[in-house]
Amino acid sequence: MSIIEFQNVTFRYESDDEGVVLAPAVKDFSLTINEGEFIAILGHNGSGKSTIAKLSNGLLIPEIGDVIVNGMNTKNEDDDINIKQTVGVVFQNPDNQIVATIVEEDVAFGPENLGIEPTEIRRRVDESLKIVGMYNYRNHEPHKLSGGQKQRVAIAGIIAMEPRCIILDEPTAMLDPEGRRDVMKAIKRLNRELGITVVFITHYMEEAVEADRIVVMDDSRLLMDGTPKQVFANPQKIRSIGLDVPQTCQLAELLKNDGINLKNDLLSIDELVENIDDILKGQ
Amino acid sequence: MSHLETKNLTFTYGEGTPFKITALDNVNIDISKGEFVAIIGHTGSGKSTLVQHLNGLLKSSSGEVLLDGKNIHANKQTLFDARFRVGLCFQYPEYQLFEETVYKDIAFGPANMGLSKGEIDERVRNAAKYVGIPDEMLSKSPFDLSGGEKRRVAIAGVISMEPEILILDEPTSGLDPMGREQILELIKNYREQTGKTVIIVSHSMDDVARFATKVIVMNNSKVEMTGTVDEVFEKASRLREIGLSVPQITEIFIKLREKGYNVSEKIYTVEQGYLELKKLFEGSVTND
Ligand SMILES: Nc1ncnc2c1ncn2[C@@H]1O[C@H](COP(=O)(O)OP(=O)(O)OP(=O)(O)O)[C@@H](O)[C@H]1O
Ligand SMILES: Nc1ncnc2c1ncn2[C@@H]1O[C@H](COP(=O)(O)OP(=O)(O)OP(=O)(O)O)[C@@H](O)[C@H]1O
Ligand SMILES: [Mg+2]
Ligand SMILES: [Mg+2]
Repeated sequence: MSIIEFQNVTFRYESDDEGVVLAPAVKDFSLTINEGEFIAILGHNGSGKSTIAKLSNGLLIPEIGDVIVNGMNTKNEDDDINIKQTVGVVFQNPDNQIVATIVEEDVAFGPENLGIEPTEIRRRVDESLKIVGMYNYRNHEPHKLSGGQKQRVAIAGIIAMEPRCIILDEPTAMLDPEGRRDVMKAIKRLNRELGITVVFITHYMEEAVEADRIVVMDDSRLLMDGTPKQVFANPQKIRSIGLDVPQTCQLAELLKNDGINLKNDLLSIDELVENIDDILKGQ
Repeated sequence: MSHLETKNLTFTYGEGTPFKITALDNVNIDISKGEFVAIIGHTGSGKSTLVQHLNGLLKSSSGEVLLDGKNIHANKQTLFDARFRVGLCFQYPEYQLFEETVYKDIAFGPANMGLSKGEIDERVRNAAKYVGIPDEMLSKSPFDLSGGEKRRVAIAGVISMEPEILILDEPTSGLDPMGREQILELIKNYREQTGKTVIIVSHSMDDVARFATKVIVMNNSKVEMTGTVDEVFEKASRLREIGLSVPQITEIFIKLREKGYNVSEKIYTVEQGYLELKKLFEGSVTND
């Protein structure tokens, strides 16, 4: 069943200069996101990814076409709260999203705005902090946390609203390697254990391979849509639009050119190491 | 002689309040002319605080920053010099962009250096070209750009000043793979062609291992270690303990060694990995 549907969507930002019409940031974009999916969105800088995120829950409204969230059109203002409750968006910089001086108050902010009753808020706050591994920090001051911890608190704030779909815009861009691993673990858990639909935008190819499905944007349009293996099977095409394949694929590509019989779609370090080991043992 | 040096630098945010945080704790670094320095460390370890001291933007009450042996806070002139000789590009481009148009933003530094209109124009256009900002974007407001476009404009604004010491705080964060490559090449060429010094702060171990001549590792407001790429990434388990990692390619070789293959662990790039694996497949390296 679909949870978000983009139907031939075109969107353009308004220019500050009167009379100047900007080119569309998203053009003729159609995509169906199914309930329970784990999707990565890739694309060069300025290709329209963040605009897609903002169109998904009515922060921006299409100029042409429609965005349908669980049967509701984002153009219909009466459904606005319902839509924002169905699709939660976590933006790139967690600093901009912190609103309170204590972690648990920060997480409670979203559900409070939805008018949820206090005992239920308490339950949701505790539960969402546990999911992201921040329960022990519930009484800390958010501004004193590290970037990765702040990002996880921001994610907890969205989970507490119990959306059926969460969209994360470059959640790992400013994180250290450990913070990146933690955030990836937390969002995989949301998807696999709680069945929440996850869409995440990233510039890291090795993160994208963790998704079930990859959507590739190029110059405001959708260019590719498939499994990681399908999308990364064509390195030339990926490179021609400013992206790249994961480093394991780059390495395997070079060795295969030398006639070494590696498999075609080695997307992770473990897969590559296993395959090398198998070939050498067989020699 | 050292070009840029800190001596016992200690800095506290919110001194005298209940929220005080010691962000730098007795930090000593020593950078020579022409080096490519990478500063790595977990989030909150003090990297951005440190680089903001290097051009005098922040001033600590304890310890000093020496540029060519002179304290940058000695007098107004030394501080003024440091601002122009040491160019800093912020981690969050939003903190740096403030003009009406992208063009004016990139021109801000050169204009303050008293260059002629023609020279300013040339520098703006060159810098924009280098970072991949197309001409038609120059008249846009910097606030109406995507995340990666803003970062490119911020980098162009510092490059256009042609500083003796170029400092970039997380220059590739938020850039697409091709943009990342472009910016890293640009920084590398800037150093190689002019002999100037470059300092980057980065969470990408891959980029650090490829380009740095010296790595400074921060941990909990202190310098944990300083060394060459080989010296630092050799300490894989310690790096993991303090929230860091080794480059992705290095990980492959650590795993192969665990399986008993006699391969080098000083492998950081796809090209190096390719050559090492070729040797392994050709049987010149065996495990028995
Ligand atoms: N507020 C705005 N006003 C005008 N144009 C905008 C605005 N925000 C974004 N744009 C433009 O719309 C296009 C798409 O921007 P968007 O932010 O969706 O890109 P993105 O794919 O998220 O890029 P990045 O990877 O750099 O974050 C870009 O050309 C950008 O310059
Ligand atoms: N303006 C400020 N006021 C109060 N505390 C601050 C301020 N800026 C930074 N800090 C704190 O100082 C410490 C060091 O921060 P700094 O920004 O230097 O870290 P960093 O290594 O650059 O981290 P990141 O990788 O997340 O950018 C952190 O604990 C941080 O919360
Ligand atoms: Mg974006
Ligand atoms: Mg920083």
